[in-house]
Amino acid sequence: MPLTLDFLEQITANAVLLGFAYGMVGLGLSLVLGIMNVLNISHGTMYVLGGFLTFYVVSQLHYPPLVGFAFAAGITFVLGFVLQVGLISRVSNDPARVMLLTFGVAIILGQISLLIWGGTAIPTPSIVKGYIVIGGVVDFQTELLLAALVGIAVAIGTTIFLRSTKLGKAMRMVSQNSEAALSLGVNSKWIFAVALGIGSLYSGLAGSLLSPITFVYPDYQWFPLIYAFVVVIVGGLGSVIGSVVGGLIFGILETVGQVIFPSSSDVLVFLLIIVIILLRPRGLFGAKDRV
Amino acid sequence: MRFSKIILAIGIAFYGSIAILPLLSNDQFLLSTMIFVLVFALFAAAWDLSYGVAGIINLGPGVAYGIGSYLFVYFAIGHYSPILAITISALIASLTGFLYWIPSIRTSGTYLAIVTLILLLLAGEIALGQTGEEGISAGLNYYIPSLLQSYYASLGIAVAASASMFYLSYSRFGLKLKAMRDDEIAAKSVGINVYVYKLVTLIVSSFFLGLSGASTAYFVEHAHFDYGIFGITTNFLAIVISVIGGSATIFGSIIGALIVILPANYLTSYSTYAVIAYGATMVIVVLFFRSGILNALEGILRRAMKGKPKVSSFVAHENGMKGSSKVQTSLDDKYSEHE
Repeated sequence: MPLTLDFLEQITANAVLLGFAYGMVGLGLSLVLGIMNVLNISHGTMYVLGGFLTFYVVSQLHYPPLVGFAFAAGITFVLGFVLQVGLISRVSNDPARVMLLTFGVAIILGQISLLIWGGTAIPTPSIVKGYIVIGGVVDFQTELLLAALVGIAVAIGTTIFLRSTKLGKAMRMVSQNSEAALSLGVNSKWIFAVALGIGSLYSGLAGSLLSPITFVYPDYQWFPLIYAFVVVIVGGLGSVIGSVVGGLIFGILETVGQVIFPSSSDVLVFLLIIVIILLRPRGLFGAKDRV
Repeated sequence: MRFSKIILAIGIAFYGSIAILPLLSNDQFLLSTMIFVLVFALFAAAWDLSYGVAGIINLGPGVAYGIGSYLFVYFAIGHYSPILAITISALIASLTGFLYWIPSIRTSGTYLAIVTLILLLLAGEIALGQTGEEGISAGLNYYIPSLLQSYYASLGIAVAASASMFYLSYSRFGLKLKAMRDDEIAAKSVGINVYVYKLVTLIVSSFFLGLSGASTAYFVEHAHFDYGIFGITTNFLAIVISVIGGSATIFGSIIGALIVILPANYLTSYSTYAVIAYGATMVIVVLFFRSGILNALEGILRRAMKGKPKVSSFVAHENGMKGSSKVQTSLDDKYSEHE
């Protein structure tokens, strides 16, 4: 492919948009990892479910796209909440067991979606069709633009939520010292449940918005998990700004990877993430225990 | 060396029953399913050595397994004798231990889990690029054993490997690994060089992972390899089997493999339900049995025989923050030392 200026502008635009969208997936994982210090292996499953649920509501039940997004977000929030209250809270003192447990949940949810929607990538319809041309050169794919805008809104919303609302402050408090929080009347049980719910919601919403572009199928669930983790590692744990920056870097890598290795664009991202983890185990901008 | 005689006895009972199965039944499908069970029992046991005994969370055991599998087919195409091919493949696959070890120097827990998972995805991508969708095959001119030969060969390999890993996990070496698993800083402070022990564990574990991979390629796939062997589902099957069977017991993996694989192979038209069932079994085991079926079984049998008070759960509660399941297993080990 000729490396013209137009082409460069185009891939930069795509990278940035994809970055904002993936920042949302990463932010979800980052919240859970930062507040509860457990890894939710079913995080990517929520992404896939988000895509499937939107497909179900919009294509099969013929509701408007907004209902589809809201439905996907609502269901994934409830799933995350129930997962924490019903299962993870019983073993949350042992991160390894949480991993195995959420892995079991990921298998179950993945197979249930396999039963309902089949194993092939579903033809998720374009919900908002077309391109927006800006400056005569750069085509913004409208779906990607929408996902990026939601990603930005989510990042801003999360910052406001964590800084100004009572629940958000309680969340930061619990992440810093859950016993002290308990002594001041903050019950970490519900805080954790809301945190996992929100984490799953971000992932589900991203899946819902991005599924027309990336496709979803049950076995795809491992990729959003890894992508989210890449974002967390690059951006640092528990920082909203970090997640956005991590998402942008990931978007650029993924897009450049697609240009350099068209058949396996993930190789570059995977290699880079291994190097980063080896050199800076807590992430590039990682400050430990900060939300 | 003191070890849990109950676990050993249960392990011998299971492998013994599998050994006499061909005398009782001539069912071809059952026997070929059992070969599958045996190679996966070995796969899971090899993972158990790194996670259950040494506490290293390696979510990508499929890398060493797949490399063993690939190398076997590679050597089979070169017409090496099967025994030689399996041995060399496993030996070379053991070098994968270095690959797991390098990230384990810098990170642990969640981060190590993700790095090893990424290694698996990378290996899958590379294998797809190297061998294509169809994979490679040694073809008809390579010696393919009969069903009974395969059955007893895979049984022999599984028993020998499990027995050596069982020995290893209760030897002085294994005790150090368990100390490292339960509290790495304390283990360092009493002079255990954790980096060396992790490296040795991962290399030994990778050797057996490679052995199970080579066995799969020979006895199950009939000297065929494709990139699907690096699949995440296959990889996690080993983890599921090991967790269900019983962590740090090595012999638990045969119980897990029977529970997970036997029904799945018979319910092929309902395989999705079978997978849901083993996902659910895994959730239930992690929630309620803490460290797997064989550990639970051992606890019940021990109390039944000795009438020992149920101390372990109390101490586990006291140490809840550190991971009660592990405290319980190490306590059980301590009991068996006093017997």
